[in-house]
Amino acid sequence: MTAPVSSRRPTGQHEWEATFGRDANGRPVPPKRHVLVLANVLGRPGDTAARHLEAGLAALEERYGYGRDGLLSTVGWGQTWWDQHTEQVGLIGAPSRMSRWEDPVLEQPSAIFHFASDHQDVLDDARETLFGGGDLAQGEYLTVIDVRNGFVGTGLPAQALPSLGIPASSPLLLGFHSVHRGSQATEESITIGSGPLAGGTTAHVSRIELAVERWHALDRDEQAALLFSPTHTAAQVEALTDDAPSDYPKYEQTVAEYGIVGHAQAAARARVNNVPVINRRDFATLDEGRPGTHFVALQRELRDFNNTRAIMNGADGTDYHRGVGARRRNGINAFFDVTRRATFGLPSRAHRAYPSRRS
Amino acid sequence: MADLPVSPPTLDEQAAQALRGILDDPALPVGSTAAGPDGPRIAALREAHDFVSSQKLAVTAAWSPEAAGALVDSLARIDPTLAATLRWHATLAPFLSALPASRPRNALLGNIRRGELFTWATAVGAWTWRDGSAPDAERPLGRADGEIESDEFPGLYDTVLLWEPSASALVALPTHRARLSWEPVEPPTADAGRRWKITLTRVTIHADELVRLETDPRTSPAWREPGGAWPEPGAAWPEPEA
Repeated sequence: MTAPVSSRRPTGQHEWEATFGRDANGRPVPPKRHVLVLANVLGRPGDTAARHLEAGLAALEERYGYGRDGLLSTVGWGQTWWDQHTEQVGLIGAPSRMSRWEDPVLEQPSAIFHFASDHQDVLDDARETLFGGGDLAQGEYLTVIDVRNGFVGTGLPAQALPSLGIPASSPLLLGFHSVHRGSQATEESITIGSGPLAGGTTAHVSRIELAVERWHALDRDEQAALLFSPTHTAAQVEALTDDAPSDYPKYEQTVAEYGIVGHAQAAARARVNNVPVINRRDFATLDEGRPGTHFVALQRELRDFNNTRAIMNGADGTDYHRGVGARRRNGINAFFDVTRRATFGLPSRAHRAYPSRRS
Repeated sequence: MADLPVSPPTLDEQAAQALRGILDDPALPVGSTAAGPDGPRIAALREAHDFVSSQKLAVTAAWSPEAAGALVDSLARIDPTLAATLRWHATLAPFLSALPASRPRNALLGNIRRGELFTWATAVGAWTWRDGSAPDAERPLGRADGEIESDEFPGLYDTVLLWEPSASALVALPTHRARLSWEPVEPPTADAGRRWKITLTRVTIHADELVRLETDPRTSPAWREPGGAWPEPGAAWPEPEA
């Protein structure tokens, strides 16, 4: 299905979904290729730097349509930017460790650029334009500290890691769809209404390593039980187009009966009035030869992510069955490790270049 | 100990079986921990600690030194290494229980009751309060720089306790606190094995994380070094206050 491409850019940088289109089952289809560029500012960027960055971003938008078939982008600014270069000290909190078993590097880059497209050459051009050697390059004001690449889309994980037997229908490394109708916070609901981030949102960006070989050694029903809920089979889950069968009001009963915490079932308890509070933009990666996920989560407040993650941990699952541990038989906790975390504020498009800087 | 649950979770056969399963076939993390020195062992122990913590199996250690000893013994029957990693917890939990009631001491016992696991800073190489002195009621937040040592991987524990003589207090340092990091001390020694240096850089500490004591706890008759003889029932342990 061809995704729409538009010359109109919405107020919010994060407003991508109208361009996603749907697959044959009605599920949203995000861009296939992604790159994250983490950067630190050099010196004290002023109006000239802001105009230069805006010119670079605008040139890319002029060059490519707005959508999967063109280019989608966001620019986010981290705690160090807000605390050191603006009057908005404390606007974005530092990232922190979010489970007992993880030791992530808690990163504090000044900025993050997220580019997404169905076409790798578009991403390569965006990166070269802003961080290469041309007229629109930002090297005078920004130094790149990390570049992260990845993909999401039907068949791409199976192509990337053919030995694992990942179903060709899967867009992600764990072998199932994770985005269904109703399983995401809406872009409208995560948009901030007032203040320096009015019209924008917040982002939590983590690097997750996945034990894909151990995961794919499980049979499909075992995977479905851990990833969704033990009351559902893989076949049932594969057929989903609407919201995952989380049955979260029956969480305690299910854990007690089956001795298994379903990841989606546990995480769904973080919803408010059955509406998710985070909008996931995660994509698979093989960066550094380590299969995993770059988990980009957008939410109105960073605490929405923190709450979701805390509840997803299923730490209370152990209360309902003695065989359930913090990781053992507890969702996908035994199959992933968060190695990096970072937090950002994403201003509106009009304020994306060095926002709220002191004069 | 009236403030602890009457029937805490016990290390029954089902829990023991789960622990054996974890140690025999741990879910090795794919990232940072297992890549470090002694990684696979640490990863297995960490998952076992996660289980002990989440199932609140070590809560009983705070009941009495005898209960703490029994906990270590029962863990040793499952895995002696696992038991050894909890020997400081088994020392510290009853010691804290025996201290007079105070907000900081009660909070630590509450954390233990929720399943948290403690260890002891076996060495304090450096310690400085940025404001010149420890936080107190007038100035509840302080910032500390320091270098301390642990005899096990600090990520196995929720809290490291250390004696800070200038404040005459036990400092309870959460291992997840911002600007706290750790690295192995190289090389491991033949007698003490692998040690870990924990570095604090401007780490925030609240006054309620300081348990004020008159003297170094190691001089107290209630103090028992791990591996030392457990006190006889009814021996010289101070009576806790209500």
